[in-house]
Amino acid sequence: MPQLDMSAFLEEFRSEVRDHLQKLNNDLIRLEGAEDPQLVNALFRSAHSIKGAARMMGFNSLSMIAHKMEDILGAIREGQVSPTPDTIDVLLKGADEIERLLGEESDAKADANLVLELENALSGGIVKGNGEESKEERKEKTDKREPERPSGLEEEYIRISSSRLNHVLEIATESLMYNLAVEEIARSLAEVVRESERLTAGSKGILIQIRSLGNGDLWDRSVELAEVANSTHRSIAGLSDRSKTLSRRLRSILYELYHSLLDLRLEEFQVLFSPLPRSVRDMARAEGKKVRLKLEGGDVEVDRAILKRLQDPMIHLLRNAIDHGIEPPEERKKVGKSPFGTIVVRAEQMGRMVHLIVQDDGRGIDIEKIRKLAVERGLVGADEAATLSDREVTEFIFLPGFSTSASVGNLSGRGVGMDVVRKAVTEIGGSVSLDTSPGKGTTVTLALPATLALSQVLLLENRGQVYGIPIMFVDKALKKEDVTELDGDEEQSLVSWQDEVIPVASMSTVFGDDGNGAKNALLVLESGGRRAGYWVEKLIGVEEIALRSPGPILKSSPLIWGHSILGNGDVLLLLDGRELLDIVRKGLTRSARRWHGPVEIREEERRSVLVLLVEDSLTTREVERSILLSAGYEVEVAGNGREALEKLREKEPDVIVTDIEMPVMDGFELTAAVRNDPRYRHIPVIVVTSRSREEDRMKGMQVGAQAYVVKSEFNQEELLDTIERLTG
Amino acid sequence: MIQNKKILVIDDSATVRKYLRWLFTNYGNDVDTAESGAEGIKRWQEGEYDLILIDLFLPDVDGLSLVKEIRSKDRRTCLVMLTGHGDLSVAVEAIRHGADAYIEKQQITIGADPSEFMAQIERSFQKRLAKVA
Repeated sequence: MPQLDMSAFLEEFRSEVRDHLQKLNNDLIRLEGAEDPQLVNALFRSAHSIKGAARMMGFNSLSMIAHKMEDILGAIREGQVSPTPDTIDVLLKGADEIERLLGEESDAKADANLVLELENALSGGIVKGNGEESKEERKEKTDKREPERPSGLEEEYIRISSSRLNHVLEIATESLMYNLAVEEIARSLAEVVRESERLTAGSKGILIQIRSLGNGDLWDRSVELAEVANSTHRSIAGLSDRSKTLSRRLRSILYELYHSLLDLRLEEFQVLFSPLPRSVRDMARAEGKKVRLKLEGGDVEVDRAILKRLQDPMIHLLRNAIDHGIEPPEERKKVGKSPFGTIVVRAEQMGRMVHLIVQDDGRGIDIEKIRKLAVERGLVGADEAATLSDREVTEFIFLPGFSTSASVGNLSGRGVGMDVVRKAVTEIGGSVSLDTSPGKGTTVTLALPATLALSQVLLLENRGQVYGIPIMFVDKALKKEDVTELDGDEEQSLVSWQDEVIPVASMSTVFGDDGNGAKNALLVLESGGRRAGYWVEKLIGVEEIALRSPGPILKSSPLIWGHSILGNGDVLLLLDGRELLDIVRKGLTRSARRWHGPVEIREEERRSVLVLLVEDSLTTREVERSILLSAGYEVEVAGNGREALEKLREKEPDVIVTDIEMPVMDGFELTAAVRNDPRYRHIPVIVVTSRSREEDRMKGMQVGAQAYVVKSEFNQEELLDTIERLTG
Repeated sequence: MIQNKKILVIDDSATVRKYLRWLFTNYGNDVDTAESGAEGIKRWQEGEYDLILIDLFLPDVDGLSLVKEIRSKDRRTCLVMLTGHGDLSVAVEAIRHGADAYIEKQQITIGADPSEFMAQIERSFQKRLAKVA
C-alpha cells in the first residue's frame, strides 16, 4: 500500500468543511428571517457534504453530528419539522460543535447533550435546561469568533505565507528609502554642476587677463587647464542629468513595485463582515432585542493587517449598539419605531482613506448627561464645559473607564470599550469619531488608511531638527501673513484666521529651547473636532514614509507616534498630533518641555541596539531579520556558532539571538563559548528554537542562556519583549 | 491493475478529489478532476478518458444525467458512480443507463487499505472492456 501523508489531506479537509460551515451559518440566519425552500436545500447539501467528507477522513463523531443535522433539514424540507428559532438554535449549536470537533483529533467525541438536543429537535421537541449556556457564556463565545476566509476559487490562486510577503514588502520599502538617498546624491551632484559652471566661467575670465600678459608659455598652460575645466564640467553635467533621470525613473518603478506588493495584502471587508450576522443574532437574542443587520461595501478593500486589527473593535461597537443603543421592542413601539432595530455596517472608499461606519437607529446618547458627568469627574471645568460643542463632548466617551460606573447605567453605556476601540484604531493610523441624535440613533465612524505600511507625513524643521507629523493630524498650513495674532503669552496665544480663533504655541517651546524659534509658518492640527496651531520655523513638505514602530528607546514618550529611517540613515521622529493638541489647549507648553527628553536621549544613544542573529536556515533567518529590523534594531547575521564567534570579534553586539540546531557549532556550544569568554561574558544570549522540551530549556539555562524563546510560529512579540527586557 | 490510464474524477468535495487524484496517480495514472457537472462535461469533451468517476449528487446537475450524456456519445469509457448511503435505487438506475458500477463512498476511507476499492475499479474496467470488444 502506498505511503500516505494524512496531514496534507487534513488541511484540505478542514478547509473544505470550514467553507461549508460558513455557508451553513449564513444560510441558517437567513432561514430564520424567511422560509425559503432553496435555502433549505442548500443547507441540506452543506450538511450532506460535511457528513461525507468527515466520514472519509475518519472523523466519525463529526460525521454523526452532520448526519443528524442533515436529518433535521430533510425533515424541514418535507414539512415535518418547522424552522422555529429554537430549532435554528440547535442547528447553529450543531455547526459550532462541528467546528470544535474539526480542531480536535478525528476520534474526538461529540457533546452528548447536544446529540440529545439534535435528536429531540428531529422528533419535534426541544431540550432546555442542562446544556443551556448562560448569557455570559454565549457572549464570550461570540466575541471569540474569528472571521473565516472567503471560499477559495481553487487552482486559480496561490497561497503565500504572509511572513514571506511581508519580507518582500520590507525589502521593497527599504529600497525606496535607499532611493531617497540616491536622489539626495543626484541633488548634490546638481549643486556640484553649478559650482563647476562657475569654475569654467571663471577660467574664461582669467584667460582673457593672461592673454594680455603676453607670456606664451603661461598662456598655453592656462588654455590647457581651462580645457580640462570645460570637459570636466561637461562630464559632470552629463552625469548629473543622467543620475537625475535615472533616480527619478527608479523611484517610480520602486513605487510601483511597492504598491503592487501592498495590493497583494489587500483583503475585502467581506472577510470582516461574514461572521457578523451570526454574532449580531446571538448578542441580540441574549439581550432580548430584535435587530436587523445590514452590511454594505463588502467589496471595499483594505490592508489585511488593518482588517485583522478591526475584529475586536467591530465586536465592541456592535455590542454597544445592541446593548445600549437599540431599545427593547416594546420601548421602540411606544415611540413609534419598528420593533426591529437596524444596525448598518458600511465600508466606504474615501480617497486614500477608508471609512467604516457603524450606525444604529436606537436611542442615541444624552450629550448633556455626559457634559455633567465630565464636570463631576473633574475632567473639565464647569465654564469650559459649557463652551464645548456637542462633538467635543462626545470625545469624553473615549476616555478609559468613562462610563463603567453603575450610576451611568442607561446614560450612554458607550464608554465600555470605546477607549479600547480608539486605541486599536489609532495604532493602525486611523481615527474614530461619533455622532449622535437623541432618540434617533448613533453613528460611529472609523477613518482608516487603506494601506498600512506607508503613510503620508508632513515634514517640518525646527532649530535644525527635522520632525514628521502624520497627515491625518494636519488640517492646514498657513503663512504668517494669513493670520492675525491676538493676545496671549508664551504658553498659549491666540490667532484668528478667517472667522476662527485658534490657540497656538511655538514648537520651539515644546522642544525645550528658549522659545526663540522663528515663526514662519503656522501648522494647524486637528483631531476629534479640536484644533490648535504650532508656529514652526520651516515646513519642508509631504513625504511618504515607511512607518516603523518605535524601538525600545523611544516608546516611553507619548509625544512620539512612531519613527522612520531617512535615506541618510537618520532617525525621523514622528509626533503624535493629539498629544500636541493637548499640550497647547491645556496651556502646558512650558511643562511640556520635559518631552524634549526623548530628543536628548536619541542624541546620546544614537547607536541603536545591535542584535547578532545566528540561524542556519536562510528563510528563517531572513524572516527573523526583517522582524528585528522593523522593530528598529540593527542586525548582524551568522549561519552557525563558529561564524557567530567570528562576527562577535569584529563588532560586539548588544544581544545574541541564536537557534539551537546548526551545523559546525550548535546553539548550546555557542552559548557556552560566549559565557566562558571574559570579553563577551556580559552579552545576553537568547535561544530561539522550535524545540520546547523541558530538558532543552534546562540545558539552555545550564550553559548560561539568559532566556529561551520557543517558536511554534515565529512569535515575534515574545522575542521582541525578551530582547527589550535584556537590553534595557 | 489500473495503470497508465487517463482518469477523470467529478466530485464537488475537494477532499475526495484530492484523495482520488493521489491514489490513482500513485498507481501510475494520469488524473484530471472537476468540481461540478458543467466542468466535468467540459473536461470530458476535451480529453479522451479511459475511466470517469462521477459523484451522484453534484451541485449543478445530478450524476445520472451526466451518465446519460456521456454514454450516448461514448461507448469506450468506463463510468463508475460514487454514491452515498441509501442511494441504491438511483445507483441501479444509473447502471441501466450505462454506468458500469457504483461504489459507496462509505467504503472509501482515507488512510485505510485501498486495495478493495482498487479491485472494484478494476472489475468495472474489465466489464466495460468486455462490452466494447
